[in-house]
Amino acid sequence: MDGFALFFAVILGLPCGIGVALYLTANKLDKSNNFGDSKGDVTSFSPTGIEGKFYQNKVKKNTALDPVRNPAILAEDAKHSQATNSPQAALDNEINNANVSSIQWHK
Amino acid sequence: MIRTCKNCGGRITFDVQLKALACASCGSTFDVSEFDAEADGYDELEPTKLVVDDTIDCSVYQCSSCGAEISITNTEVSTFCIYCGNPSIVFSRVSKLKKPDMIIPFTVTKEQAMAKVRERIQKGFFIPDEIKNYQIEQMRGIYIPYHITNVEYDASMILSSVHKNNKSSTTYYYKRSAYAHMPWVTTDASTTLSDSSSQRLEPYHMKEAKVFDEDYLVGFYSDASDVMEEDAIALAKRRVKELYDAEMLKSITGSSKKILQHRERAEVYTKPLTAFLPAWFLTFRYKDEPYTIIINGQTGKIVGGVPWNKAKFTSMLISLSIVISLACIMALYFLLPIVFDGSSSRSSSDNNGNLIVAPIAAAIASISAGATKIKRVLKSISRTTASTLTSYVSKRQKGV
Repeated sequence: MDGFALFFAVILGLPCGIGVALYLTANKLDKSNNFGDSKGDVTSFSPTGIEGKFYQNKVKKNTALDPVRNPAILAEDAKHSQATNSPQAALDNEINNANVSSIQWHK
Repeated sequence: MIRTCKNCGGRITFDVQLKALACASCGSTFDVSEFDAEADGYDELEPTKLVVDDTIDCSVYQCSSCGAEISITNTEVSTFCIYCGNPSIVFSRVSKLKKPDMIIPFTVTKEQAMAKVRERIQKGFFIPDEIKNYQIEQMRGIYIPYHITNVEYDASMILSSVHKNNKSSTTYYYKRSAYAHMPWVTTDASTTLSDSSSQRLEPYHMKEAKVFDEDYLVGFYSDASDVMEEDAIALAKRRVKELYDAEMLKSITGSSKKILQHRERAEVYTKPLTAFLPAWFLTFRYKDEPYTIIINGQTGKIVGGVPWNKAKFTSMLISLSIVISLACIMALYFLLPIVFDGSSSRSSSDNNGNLIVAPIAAAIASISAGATKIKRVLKSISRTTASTLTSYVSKRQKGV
């Protein structure tokens, strides 16, 4: 049993030891020779960071996703929607899509 | 563009410490605004409107080794390539650089940058002594062109992670919805400098940016912007998505984290601005290989990978391996008989199987973790060797 235990201890202990030693030495090399590995995050580019957080934990896998809530995107979408629905926009659309010969110009 | 002293006619350069133009001959100092751009004449179509040239005259030098082009806006003659350190560079042509909208002037002086690099190098355990004793000579300040994009972002996603306890593992699902207004997404506008290097220089504090004035460039190099606006917008949107996804993954616990479903919108409603952002480039050669260390000219952050002493690394690895392996072997030698003697009295064969598999799994996991770690570290260190720094086959362009 002693020989058996020693055999298994060496077979399993050696790779464990080498793996851990490799990890620790690589970590030391990283700290020693690798300068400035971190990049910016969201707060680097934004004065307000992530807003309007709506976080839910332990939901179902097929839970529906939320619609757009970014006020700036919603405002631009509304502006664009008004522009495309206005009478002038409708007229422009009709002219663009119409067959030219069918337009009757009034003097 | 040459600026001369109003008092003695000597050459003036931008003094980082004084934050003003200074004459090397008589010591006079001038505010940048004292040398405002002069009008070139009147607009042909609008005779009452003065025309100010929106370009800067410069000389372009090309490196015969890495092919990088560098623009110099004063009469200083370049003697080496600031990217790869090659001393053989050739005057290429006179050109015009488009003036950017903004600039962040250097706030870290050359001497401060050198001191920071020396201090950092002295701390490196695996840095060869030849590099620790290296006399820093070739350090140049360069203004890197960047695009500053204003991105509105909104996303909703379902994430998953695995939670393990003693007997089983469970997958949990999370919903994360949020938005962000990011007015200063910086992306480098030069294909000469690789994105992985320019991103590591971040963050720059854009609140300190000033309206561009050519006089800030006096005494420094600059690089030309050669990234199209559409590419800059696409790259900015991709960066925002990466940063946002990283934040969402950080907000959940467990292992094997994944994003399963997502809905995102990234919109850019205004034209990206252009800016010159400062960086010090230190190039040196070690065993005939060029290396570059970059220092953020505003914050002093040092970016780069330095050669490592392989003999020292190997001897430390062998010593640690021997010590830790002996400790593991002794622990297993005493524990295994106890485990086997205990398990032989149990009726369940599953328990026996688990007790044998656990140390085997631990051994495989250790080797795998160690190999992955060393691979990642070596890849990271090689990112700012000169060849990757000035890679013309920019990985970014495949994705944009």
